[in-house]
Amino acid sequence: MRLGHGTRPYMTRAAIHRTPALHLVRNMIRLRGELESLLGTGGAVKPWRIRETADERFNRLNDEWGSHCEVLITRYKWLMNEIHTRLAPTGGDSSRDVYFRAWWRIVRNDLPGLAAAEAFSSLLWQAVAAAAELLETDVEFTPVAMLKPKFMLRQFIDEMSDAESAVSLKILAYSPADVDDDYVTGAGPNELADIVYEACLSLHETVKRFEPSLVTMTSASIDLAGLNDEATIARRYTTWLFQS
Amino acid sequence: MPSIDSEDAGELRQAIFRSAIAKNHDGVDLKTDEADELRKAIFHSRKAMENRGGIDLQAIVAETAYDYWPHRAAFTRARRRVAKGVEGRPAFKAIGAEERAELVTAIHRTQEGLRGGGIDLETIAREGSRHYWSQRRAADPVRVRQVNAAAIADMALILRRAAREFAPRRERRRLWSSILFDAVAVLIPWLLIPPLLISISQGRVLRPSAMLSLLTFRASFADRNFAIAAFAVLCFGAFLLWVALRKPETRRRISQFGGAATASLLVAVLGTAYVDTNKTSAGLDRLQASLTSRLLLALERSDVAGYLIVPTQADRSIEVETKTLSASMAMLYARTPGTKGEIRVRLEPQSANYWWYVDGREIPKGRLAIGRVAAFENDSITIISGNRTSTFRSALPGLRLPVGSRVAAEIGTDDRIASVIVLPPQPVRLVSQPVTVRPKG
Repeated sequence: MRLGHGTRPYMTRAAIHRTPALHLVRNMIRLRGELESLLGTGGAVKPWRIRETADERFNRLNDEWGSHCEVLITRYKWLMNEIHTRLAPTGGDSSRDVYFRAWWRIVRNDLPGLAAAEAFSSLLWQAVAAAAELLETDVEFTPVAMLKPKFMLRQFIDEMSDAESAVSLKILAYSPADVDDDYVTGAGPNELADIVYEACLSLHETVKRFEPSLVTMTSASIDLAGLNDEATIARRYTTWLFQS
Repeated sequence: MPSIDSEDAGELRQAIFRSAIAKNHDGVDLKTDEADELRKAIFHSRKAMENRGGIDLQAIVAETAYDYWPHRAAFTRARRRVAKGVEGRPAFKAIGAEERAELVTAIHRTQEGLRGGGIDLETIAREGSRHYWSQRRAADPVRVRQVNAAAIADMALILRRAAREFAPRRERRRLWSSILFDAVAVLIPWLLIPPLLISISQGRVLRPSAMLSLLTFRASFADRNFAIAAFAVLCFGAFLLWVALRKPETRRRISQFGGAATASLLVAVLGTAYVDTNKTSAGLDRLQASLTSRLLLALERSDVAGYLIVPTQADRSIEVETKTLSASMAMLYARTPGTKGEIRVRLEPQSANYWWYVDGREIPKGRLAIGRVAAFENDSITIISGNRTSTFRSALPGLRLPVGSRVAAEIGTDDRIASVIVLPPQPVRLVSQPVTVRPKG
């Protein structure tokens, strides 16, 4: 993927790939400000003009914006598969293609207008219903609406300090790619359950860190009330992640 | 030809996994160059399947190469961690086997749901992610105006016609306006900077015309710090010019007012030399000290008129000359690079009043008293000059003078002794040859 036009980008693709989703969106808000400043005449003297023209800068920033979008969306692409499977179980690829394009079109147009980085997950979720031309309260949307907590929890996976738990949840709850691999299938049922329970506790610790802005970040779909003991926490999170 | 479906994509992934495993058995992160090798390895497959479309192999490879090994290693660590606590956390004992089995079933069901079909959202995102800003930029009215080819062509036609019709007059007007702007740009610094510099230097600088003085310029550049600063200023100016030349509009403006800009820059540099107040001040002080000592020596010879002051070895850069104006008035001229001063002395039988004149401005310095010390106390000295006895208070704490010694005392404007030179018992004779000789009259 081409990131720049002879000028080193702020972040390499690998760096973007490693960046947590929330930080990624914060970067995008910064990029948005810089891109918007290039939409006008751009006549003012800026230090960056020393090394690149306005067009070069616009192209480079636009490329970076695109890279951020792609990496962000990559983290939700399997989840979007699951959402579409529930929306249209018999729709097939053509239906999936139409739905994904509609969802992405909405996200693409709304993302630059995002007021706060913390609200990005809610924005992506609103597009889930809008792309299906449904309201969140519609009966047809009910199977998908059950996935809302799982959708909102995805952003916290990137913020987890426990790398093993984060990867376990990524593999088991958010991507199908590795599940058939021997290192995953080699785990017995009890072992798999314990891995998930451990990971849920770790995820809960991460979510608690963001408690002040939890309503904005999760569109009020994650409620931590009543989560007092480890078994309850593990049950609640496994329900959100696997059994909704 | 059959198209690639999700099953093919899955097989392809597995093939890439196997390739990655074959390359790196240690379970560490796959290096970028190895990922590149993987890309090359599937290049031929991609060529063979280029008409079959639907799956972005590059994305699959990138995802596999970057994520596979870290994920594998982390998951293995997670398994090992769970295995260490054989029964797991005590709290999880409350979760029964049936519940655990349900969870594992749910995990597999979730995996089925996640797997979905062969539409890759990442590819869709890649196609459209850059369009938003490109479209907004294209829709920007200013840019639309800028890239409106028809409007540009029309305008070019109008300008060409106008150039043909009004060329002589426009050329003239451009020439005169350019000259006018150049003149204004040069004159404004000349009119504004000198008064400003004089005020901020508290009168230490000389006349505005000194700005053009070669001596001033040379003296300023002789100072290493100033030379470095001036060089830096010129380099910075050249850099700004280079930056400005990158933009066509700025380039046009500079071609029109470049002369004025250069002149202004030079005026600024010369002006900086001109206002080098510290240097000017130091020069004046040195000149004053030198002249004072030479004046005292001249007076010591009791024959000021027509005699010359000889620079010492330390002050070769100072030119000194004397000129007798009348029987009781002598003038000494001194000049350093960039500074010019003169001292006027009115001779009296045993003392001399003197003034400094620095570029036409009079600076009263007091008078001299030459004689023998008749009495000396802590802070007062009595000097006998011929028939006259005068007592002066000293402004020099700790001053000790032997009674009977010959001294030349500088009496300040506050009537106190500002400095004292102890003279030899007998008048000295100068033996050096003068540097500059001006005959009497």
